[in-house]
Formats: sequence, structure tokens, C-alpha cells
Amino acid sequence: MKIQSIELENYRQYRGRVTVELSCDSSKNITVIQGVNGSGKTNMLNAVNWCLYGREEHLSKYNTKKQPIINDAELRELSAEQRVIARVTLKMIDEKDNDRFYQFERSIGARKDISGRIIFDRDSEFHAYMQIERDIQEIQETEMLINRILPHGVKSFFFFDGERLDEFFKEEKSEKVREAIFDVSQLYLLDRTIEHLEKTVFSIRGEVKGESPKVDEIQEKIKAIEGGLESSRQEKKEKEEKLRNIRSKIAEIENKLKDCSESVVRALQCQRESLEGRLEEIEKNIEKIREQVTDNILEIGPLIYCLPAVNDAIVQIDQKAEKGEIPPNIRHTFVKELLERGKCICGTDTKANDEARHRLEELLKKAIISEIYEEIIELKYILKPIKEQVAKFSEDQNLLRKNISSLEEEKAKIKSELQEVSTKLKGINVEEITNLEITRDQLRREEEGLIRDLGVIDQRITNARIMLDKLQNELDEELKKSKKFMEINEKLNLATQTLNALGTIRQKLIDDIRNTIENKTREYFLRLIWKKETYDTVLIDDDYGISVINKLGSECLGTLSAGERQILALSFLAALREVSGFDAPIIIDTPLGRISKEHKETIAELLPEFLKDAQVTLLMTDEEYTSRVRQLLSQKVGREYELCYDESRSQTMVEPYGK
Amino acid sequence: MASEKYFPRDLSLDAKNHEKFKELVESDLARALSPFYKKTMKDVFMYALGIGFFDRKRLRLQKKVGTIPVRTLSPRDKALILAIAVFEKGSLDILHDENIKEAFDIAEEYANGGITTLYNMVFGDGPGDIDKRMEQHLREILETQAVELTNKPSVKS
Repeated sequence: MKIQSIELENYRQYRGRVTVELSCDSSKNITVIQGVNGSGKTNMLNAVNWCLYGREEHLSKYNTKKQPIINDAELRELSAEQRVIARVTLKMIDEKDNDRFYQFERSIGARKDISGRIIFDRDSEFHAYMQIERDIQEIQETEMLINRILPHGVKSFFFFDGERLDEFFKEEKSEKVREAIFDVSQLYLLDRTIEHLEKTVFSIRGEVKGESPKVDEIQEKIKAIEGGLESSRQEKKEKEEKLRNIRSKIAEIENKLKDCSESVVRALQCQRESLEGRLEEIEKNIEKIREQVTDNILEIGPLIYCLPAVNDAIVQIDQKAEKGEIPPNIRHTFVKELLERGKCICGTDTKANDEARHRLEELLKKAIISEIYEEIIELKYILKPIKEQVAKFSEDQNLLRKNISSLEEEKAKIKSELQEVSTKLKGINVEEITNLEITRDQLRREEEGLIRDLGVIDQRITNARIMLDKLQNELDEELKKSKKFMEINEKLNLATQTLNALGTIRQKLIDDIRNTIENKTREYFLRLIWKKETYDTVLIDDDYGISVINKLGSECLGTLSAGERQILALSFLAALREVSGFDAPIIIDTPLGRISKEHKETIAELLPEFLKDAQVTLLMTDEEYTSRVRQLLSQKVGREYELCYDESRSQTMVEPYGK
Repeated sequence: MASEKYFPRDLSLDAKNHEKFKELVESDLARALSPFYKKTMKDVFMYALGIGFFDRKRLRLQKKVGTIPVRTLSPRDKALILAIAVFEKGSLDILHDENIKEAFDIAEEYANGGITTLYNMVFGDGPGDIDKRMEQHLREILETQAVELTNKPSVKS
């Protein structure tokens, strides 16, 4: 799927009608739109989002005054009783569906009343058109159509802000990764089915009422717990939302400090980021070593307790060898055969001769060793190293504990350095900075409190679920006694079995998708990172935490440079995009925004490789689109534009690049 | 091992202690306290077996619940179970095909004897780092066993 053109009419900086045609050439799949900050690059991304989804998601940086969508100058110059419209039109073609044409249009209007007051339309208007055979037809099921092209849940893997990308693995990492994997899994339908079935099971059980006081009592209890569960879920949702807000406020403050004009503030914030990265790395390593300590105890503990048995078995085996019983010189089956035949090899009839028979029977007992010879040798082979493993236990544990305590010392040192950074920031003689830092402190405390609250709520929800399960089992037992139950039993069984199967399918799907994304992220990251000898692997664990492991086996996500993080985020997004299965165009605002000069060119060189199969639009500042970057991308760039902002007319013009 | 075809399919637990095994692995309290949290029932079994053997506490199972597949045991776990049986019987004959089932019965009884001590060790010994307490116990045993470690045989006649 490709965007042929984006038409902007009185949309924000774009006054009148402006058309940007994007490159649809597969061999030159990149379109570059370059412009200085504030010229309307981000609003190009916003326009696409607004047109398709009715939302502008990249406003926070520039639109602090909540300016309206309709162009400023148009609104100013509006006469009384006159109306103006802002419109974004996207023309798209689907190459994989015989170049089928689509057109999406969203518009919003405003009018000036007689008193000079501007009245904006409450809602925007949206129209979608699609080519059916030779005709173009308007489609009423717009949501369904958009979901077919690029659903809301996965759009952020196709349309994104490069500057935010740098933050992707810095705040709420595992939550973001989890959300992304869930979004890409597209399990909404399955989730809705599960939810619906749960309600069905509940109402089936509710069908039996007044059968016995016990049934009614249990039903009442279930109802009460369900109510509590619902309010806990609601509370959880609210707190999670609050936590997200707090985290984004913290990120906003940190960005302000990082972009501050005072160099000392910028340096302190950078120092804090690097300290926090290191702190996180240390905490992960401590956790990892603690796990090793526990694993060692659980692995070697039983061996220590059973050491006398191990020693004894080895001694018994050695004694057998000393006595010459192993290796065996006579086979058990051979003696057994002689006894069954009733004749010894010397010719004696063992059936008639008791003494000869007894001697053979004794020999048979001893010869059992021939049957278990292999087991004995294997057992000794496995038992022997146990003594060495046990002997090393204390030494190994001492070493691990020593590592933990030196990491703990480093952790305490970093915490005090972080405290120092905060004190220095508060002490800077600029009121705004002091206030920002005080607010950040306060937000951090609120964040900690919310995390604790969420832990308690999770516990409450788990307990309620356990209680519900128990009560539902009790109810089922009671209902079995009822006549009515016989009738609904089948329904209940089918519904619960289906629920179990759906739960298993859901988990399996998510696990599979997570594994594929992990493999693909790792593949891209290791292929494209420049320090190939430093990094070993990328992992996504069961809790959706992402880790980058270096060749020494340590986790080092926290200490990746901005450029390396960008590569990781791009790898992750490329993996998500691939797994999502959607063939949608990609639009990246400021792809090299936060990258240091030395890595800017490296990433520019790698970008076409990342994005080779898609139509790509890069919205870049002049600082990003340097002549070297331009040269590196030139083979793949099909169209190039420059945004020229005319301040006197509050208007952006789109010109061919370098005109 | 060559004689694996004679191994039982599952290791049994006593029904009345089954919950203790489960709680050590997956209860809410385990999440906070148990080193076995997110480990397997097999890990609890082997540790309980060790403690039961160390305390020489063999408890016959009243009602068997077969829940741990023998295939989840590592070669070393299996060797340990056989070594205990050899020690207990004072003979290597326990390794013979028909006898091998008894080796697993002995292991089940020792694990049944050790599980309550292990359970109390994890959940009942008051606050503090359970890993450190378990490790300390093992270190003390190693110190007292140091003499035996220097090759003092203890064959049962």
C-alpha cells in the first residue's frame, strides 16, 4: 500500500491547497521532506494521522497553546458570516490488489458569527472512497476499511517520531514492549470472544435460582466478588492511566532539562541519564547473580544432603572392582540357561545332583552383576563429579556473594551521585529549573506510590479470581444436585471447555509472536549495529523486559548510546512491522533527531536497508539532511521537498528540494 | 540409563503433602519467600528428598498422587536416587531391572519425610533471607562432613 499524495487545505501552517506527491517507485522508495523546526514537518505526520484516525498524536512539542487545526491566517482574515474549511486528503493505491485506488478525506470547518466570534464545528467529517471495478464508490464502513489497511493499534509502528523513538526503551520499557506485542498480535477479536463467553458462563449459572438456599447463597457471594473485581479492575485502569501521565510528565521535564539553554543543566541531565542507565544495569546484574545463588543452592543442596549415599555407592562399586566382580567374567543369562537345561557344562546333571545345582544357583546370584554392569559404570561416571561439585559449593557461593556486595556498593554510590545531581539542579539560580526539579522529585514519589498501589490491586484481583474459581466449583457441585442443572450442564461444559481452549490458544499465539519478534529484533540489531564485537544477543523475557546482552554475558541496555538505542528501536519496530503483516507506508519524523553527528551518517546509511520493502517518507530538519546524509540516501530517494515557512503570511510552501 | 525402561512413569507424592509441594512453587507467599517460586515440583522433590535422607526420615505414603513425571529428572537426579537406594539396601543389586522400582519408592518416602521440614524452613522460620539460611545450613553440613569428604568409607554391611 502506498500513498500517492497528501493534499493539505488550510491545515495548520498549510494555507490554501498544498499537494505533496510521494515517491511510488519501488526502486526509489524514499521521499524526503526537509524543513527547519516549526515549518510543518511534524504536522505532515499529524495530517496523515488526523485524516485516517481523527487524531493528531504528535502535537505536544510545538502546540503548547492548543492552536486550532484550521490555518491561523485564514481564521484571522475570515469575515463575519463566512466559513472556512481545513481538509486533508490522502490518495492511496494498493499495488498488491491490482493498483486498487483509495481516497480518504477528513475536514473540519469554522465560521465567524456576526459578533466576530469564531465557532468551530464540533466534529470533523470523514469520507472514504474505494475503487470497485472501474467505479469509485464511497464506503460507509470506514472503520472496517481503515482496519483493513492499517488498524489504529499498529499504526504507531508505521507512523512515528524519531525523537520519541530514542525514548522507546527508556521509560516504561516492558509496558511499552508488552503493549506493542499485544497490539501487533491483533487479539482483540479473541479477547472479545473470551469476555463474551465468560459472561455467558456467568449467566448460564445464574439461570438456576431458587433451587436451594445453598445455591442462592453461593450465587450471592459470586455476585459480590464480581462487583468487587470490577471495581478493582476499574481502579487499576485509573491508576495505570495516572502512572502513564506521571511518567510522560517526568519524561517531558527531563526533555526540557536536556534541551535547556544552560549548558550546566544539560550536562547534569545527561549525567543523570547515564547514571540511571548504569543503575538499571547494576540492578539487573544483581538480580541475575541472586538467581545464580539460588540456583546453586537448589542444585547442590540435595547433593550435599545425600553425600554419604554418593560416597557409599562409589565405595561399593570400587570394592566390587577390587574383588574382581566387575567387569563380570560370567554372564547371568548363561548360568540361567544351564539351570533351565538341567545340565552343567561339565556334563553334571544338575536336576539329580543337589550340590551342583546349589553351586550354579549361587553363581547365578553373583552373576546378576553382569546384567547391571552398564548401570553401575554409568552410575559411577555420574556420581564421581558430584564430590567435586559439592567441594566447590562454598567457594562458588563466596564468589557470587562477593560480586553482589561490590555491585551493591556501586549501586549505593550511584544513588548518592543521583541525589547530588538533583541537589545541584535545585540549587541552580534559575527559578524554572529549580521548579522543574522539585516537580520531578514529587512526580517520582507519586510514581513509586502508584507502583505500590498497583501491586496491591493486582494482588486483590488475583485473590478475587481464586475465590471466584473456588465458588464457581462449589456452585457447580451444588448445581449437579439440581434437575435444572442437567439441562444446562451441557451448555456449561461446552462454554468452559471453549474458554479453556481459547485461553490456551491466546497464550500460545502471544508466546509465538513474542518469540518471532525477539528473533527478528535480534537479527536486525546484530546485523546493523556497528560494534559487532561488543554485543551478543537481544532478549525479550516473559515479562516483556527487553535486554541487550554483551559478549561478557552482562545486560547493557541502560548504557547503550542514543544511536545504539535508535538502532534497537528501529530493529524492534521493523520486527513488529514484519510480524503485523500490514503492508502500509512508513512515515518517520526527525529520524536522526537525537543522534550524535558520528552516528548520524551510519544510521542514514542503514535506514534504506531497514525500510527496503516499504514506501518511506522521512521528515528531516536541515541539520539531519546534511549533504553527506543526502549523498548516502541518494540511490533510494525518489522525491525531495523543502518546506519554506513564510512567517509574515503564517504559511508553509512545499517546494522541490534546492529550488 | 540402560535400565530406564524399568523406571516408573511418575514420582508419587503423599496426597496430604501434595499442597505443600505446590505452595512452595506457585503460591502468593512463595512469590515473596520461596526460592522454589517459578521452579518445578521436581526441584522441590529433589530438595525434600535430600533433607529427608539427611534426617534419615522415611515416611510411607498413605495415599499416592502421581504428579512428577520421571522424565523431568536429570541424569544426576536419577543417579542420586539410585545412590540412596544402594546406600539403603547396602547392595548394588537394587539396580537390577525388577528391583529398580523400589529405588524410586525409597526416594518418594524420603521426599515425603523431608517435605514438612523444607516447608517449615521456607515459610516458618521467621523473617530474613531464606537463601542465606538454606546456604548456611548447607555450609554447616559441609563443615561437619569434611572428615567424611576425605574418603572415609561407610559401607553398610
